[in-house]
Amino acid sequence: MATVVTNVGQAIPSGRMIGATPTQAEPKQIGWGTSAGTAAVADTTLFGEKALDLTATTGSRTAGTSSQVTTTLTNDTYQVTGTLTATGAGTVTNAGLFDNGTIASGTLYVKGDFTGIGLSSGDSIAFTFKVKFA
Amino acid sequence: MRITGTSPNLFAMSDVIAGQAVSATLEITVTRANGLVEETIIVECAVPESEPKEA
Repeated sequence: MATVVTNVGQAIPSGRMIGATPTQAEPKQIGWGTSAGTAAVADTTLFGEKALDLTATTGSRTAGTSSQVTTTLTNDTYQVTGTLTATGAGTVTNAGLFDNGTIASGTLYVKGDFTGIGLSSGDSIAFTFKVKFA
Repeated sequence: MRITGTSPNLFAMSDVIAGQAVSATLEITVTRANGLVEETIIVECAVPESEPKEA
């Protein structure tokens, strides 16, 4: 199991630096997937990304809530939280943050994999992503 | 922080946090449809391939 900031995701913070209203969208769109694999920095997609209906491969991601939190130094960590509730059954194995709310679009910023969690319709997973900056 | 919000409220480059993201974690809590909270998993950042790993 691993959680990584992807190589393509490394461009997102620098893009957010530019302008009062950066053209780089905030990477707070939460996606999940149902295929196996270990997250790696070269990844650009989730493993078998699905919609809230875990049998569907198209649709929307869920916008998370972002904030600054403290891990070591004050406000050194970017945090996104969000809860995804399944509307169709499946086993969730990985999740990530994107800068776009549509499945199969956008840039993958953070990705994490974990032991598969079988969900029935109505079950939910609350995600908390944290990226700590030096 | 420049990464949050549509119009980030941090403007001065001198105030921007230096360096790259160095670690990421993902916390997961599963709640069943009946309200039962089952488990919390924390997945830490992977060890970079360039760093030595324990035998």
